[in-house]
Amino acid sequence: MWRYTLRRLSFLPLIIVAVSIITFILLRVLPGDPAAIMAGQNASPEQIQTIRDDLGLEKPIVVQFFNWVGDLAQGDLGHTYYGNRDILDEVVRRFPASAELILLSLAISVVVGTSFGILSAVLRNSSMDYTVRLFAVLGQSIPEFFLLILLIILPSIVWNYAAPIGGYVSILDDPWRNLRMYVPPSLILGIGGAAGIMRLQRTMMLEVLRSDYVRTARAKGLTTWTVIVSHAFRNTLAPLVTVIGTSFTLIFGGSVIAERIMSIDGLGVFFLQSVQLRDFPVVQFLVLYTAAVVIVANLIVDLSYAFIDPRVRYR
Amino acid sequence: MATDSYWTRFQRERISRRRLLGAAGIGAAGLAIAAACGDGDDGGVGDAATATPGAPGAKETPRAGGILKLRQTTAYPNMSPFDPGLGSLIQGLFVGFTIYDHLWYVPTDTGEVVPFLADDIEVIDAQTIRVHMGEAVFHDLPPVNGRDVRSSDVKASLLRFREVPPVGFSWLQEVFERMDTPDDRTVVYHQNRPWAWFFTASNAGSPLSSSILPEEVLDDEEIYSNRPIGSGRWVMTGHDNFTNIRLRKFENWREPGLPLIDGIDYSFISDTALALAALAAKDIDLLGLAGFGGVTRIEAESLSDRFGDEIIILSDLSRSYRVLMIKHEGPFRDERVRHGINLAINRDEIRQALNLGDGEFSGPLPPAHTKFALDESDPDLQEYFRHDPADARAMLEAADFPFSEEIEIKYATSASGISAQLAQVLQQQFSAVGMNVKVPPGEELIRWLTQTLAPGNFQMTAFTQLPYEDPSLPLSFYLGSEAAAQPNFMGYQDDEVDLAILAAAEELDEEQRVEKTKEAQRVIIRKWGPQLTLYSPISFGARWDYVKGVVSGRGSFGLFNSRLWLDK
Repeated sequence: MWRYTLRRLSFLPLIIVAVSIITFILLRVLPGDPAAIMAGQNASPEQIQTIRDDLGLEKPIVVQFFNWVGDLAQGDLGHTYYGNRDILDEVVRRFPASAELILLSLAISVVVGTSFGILSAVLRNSSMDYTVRLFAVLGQSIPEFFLLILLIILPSIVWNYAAPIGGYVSILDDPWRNLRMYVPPSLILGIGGAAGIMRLQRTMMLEVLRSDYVRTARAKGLTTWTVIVSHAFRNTLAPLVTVIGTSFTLIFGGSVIAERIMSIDGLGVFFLQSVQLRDFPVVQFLVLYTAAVVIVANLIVDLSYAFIDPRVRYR
Repeated sequence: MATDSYWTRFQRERISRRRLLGAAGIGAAGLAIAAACGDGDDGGVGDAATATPGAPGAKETPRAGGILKLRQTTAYPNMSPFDPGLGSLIQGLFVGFTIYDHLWYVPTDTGEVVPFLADDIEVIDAQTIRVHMGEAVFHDLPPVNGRDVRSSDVKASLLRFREVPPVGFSWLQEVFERMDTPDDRTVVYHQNRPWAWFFTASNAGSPLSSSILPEEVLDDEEIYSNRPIGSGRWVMTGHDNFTNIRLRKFENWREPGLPLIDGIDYSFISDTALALAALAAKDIDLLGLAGFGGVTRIEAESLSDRFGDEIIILSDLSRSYRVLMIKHEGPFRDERVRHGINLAINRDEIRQALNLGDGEFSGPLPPAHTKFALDESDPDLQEYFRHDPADARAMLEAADFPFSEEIEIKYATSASGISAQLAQVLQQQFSAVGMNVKVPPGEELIRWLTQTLAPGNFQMTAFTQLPYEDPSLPLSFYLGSEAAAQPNFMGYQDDEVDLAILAAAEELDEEQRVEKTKEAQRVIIRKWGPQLTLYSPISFGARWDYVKGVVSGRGSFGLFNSRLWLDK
């Protein structure tokens, strides 16, 4: 198991290097000179050149790349082009907001998706089943940004209610304010993921509930709860975990939209602004960060199979 | 001299603050009655209870205290007013309107100088202006520690701003020559040529580059970027990395007892729906101050329906204006072609499609510049607004316009989609007269600014011009490369247009300058200047009824208002 883990982790640097090279090149190929953007449309060529020299953009691209990699290896993420702010400070400051949004969304999608998927399968062809299936289709069809706008407008019209505005407040400092700020958008983000999990969970449960060992378990007199949870559900975990890994990636991307609409000052909005402004150091780091997170998430999913299914052994 | 303008008055009699403010108050009253909203005052000294006779709430006695809650639409990278390009414009204006003081300001409506820190302004000659400063101190923060504001601070700040690459025409780089400081309270401006627009907001009166900073911090980026120190009415006391900014009143501000409110708390809200919800929940008190960060008419009406008299809807004719800019090359060099294209444009249809019919047609100078814009009854303006597809076709045919040639109307994408709609409506109108017009996919704003607009890489481009505060800047877009330091985006050059614009810029007599500005517009129209101006929309905002003393109809001057108060 450890050998397998280390072997997978050994690929991580290679993938990171590849992603960083591709990102580095693509950013410099994209139209839009950051120096010209910063200087404004009426700046003279000399003024733009000064900014390019200050930012090191005049150096050969290979030199720029190795300078950046060298700094990164020492933990120096550099400074933003706009405002000259320390990128590491910016990332650390914004990380809690994004992490809470993503993890809460994931938790909601998993809990809601699996619960209702199981319920739908167990109560097959009942009104509950039809309701859950309809919800799943709607959840996958309706765009999240539309639901987020509705989330803002409807409470406002009905109750004159607005989600808290202002900076990030930790759940430890003010739990109620924190939950008011993050639970609603997390619910919306989680719905899309929950819908997909729900449908998959239902399909797998239906298949498993028809199997011989489940029939045997019922025949042995085990309670319904034990049959469903200990026998049936456990055997649906492997594919479920795979889908959860995919949902995580989707939620990760969807959080950018949620942050933008809900005015949450997180990493997603930071990334979006940096792309628009061609703030290269920020974009380069955040792409790497995203790639690393997705790779680690997929690794966790793969490793979890060994715990879920005793028949799986890694060498 | 037959006419009495502020230039001539300055020369004959030094202007006291009281006299100028009286003139400004009268102008404000007229606008307040015309706008029929807001309890306007002049934003400087004066009593909100009496400054605008006839305005709602004129008999109420203002109360001090309370924190105003406003929306912050942009996350600033820092507080530096010296960042190059767009950076300096965005956060520089914010600190310019709040933390830093200025010598004077010229509101859009009256065009009259309203003294701030200046207590005496003397025009010595067409190129030399002497300003005496009143008493003021800086914020009591290290290393400045509340010392007096001196003339050397004004000079040092101005010279520091001159080092920043300009955004558009820059009086600092092109007209300003030097500043003398004969004593601690006197500054003398020297221009390299007569420039009658000296006082206005795009020139020496810029709310950005006339900000007064302490000279000892001008080279200390850590201070002016992160904890700005000024002598303005507000002190920055907190922020979350330059979002959710908190301002508190400067207790030693030069006008004792002002501002009336204790502070302003900004909440960063990027989405308009969330801003409306926050307003409805009273998490913010006002939207659309001075026309910035406002709402649409439908949204304003919805608020009014929901809350009745508790919500006051603000509406101002915006200083921004929709335009179609045409590159001065190929067939478009022919005035008949530009005239024909203008005849093909149905401004009313565009206004209806984009703004539900709200707004006023715009000549080369948008109508919000009430003093200097052409009157709508002007015959040249009437011809400018005329829509006649048959005449348009005939004009284009007479000019041998290549109807088969594909023409693109480029635009920048935006959240509102306005430019995209504008381009599409124009395409339909031009197609109706036989032109082969295509609207390519929109470009990202940054790309459009730097790759399309600035280098003139377009045949046509449709967008909304920014809400400039004074007439000089909109006119400068037609100045050719021989008259201006930098060529205009259209590559346009016409000696007659240049002469007309410069004649207005050099006319010191105010009434004459108004006439020459109008004449310059007529020349631009007769020459069919390749920036075809369409209309100015109405900007809407909303405030709760307990927010009183709001200044409206005066452009950005309302942002200097010290007399806003909270009746709760």
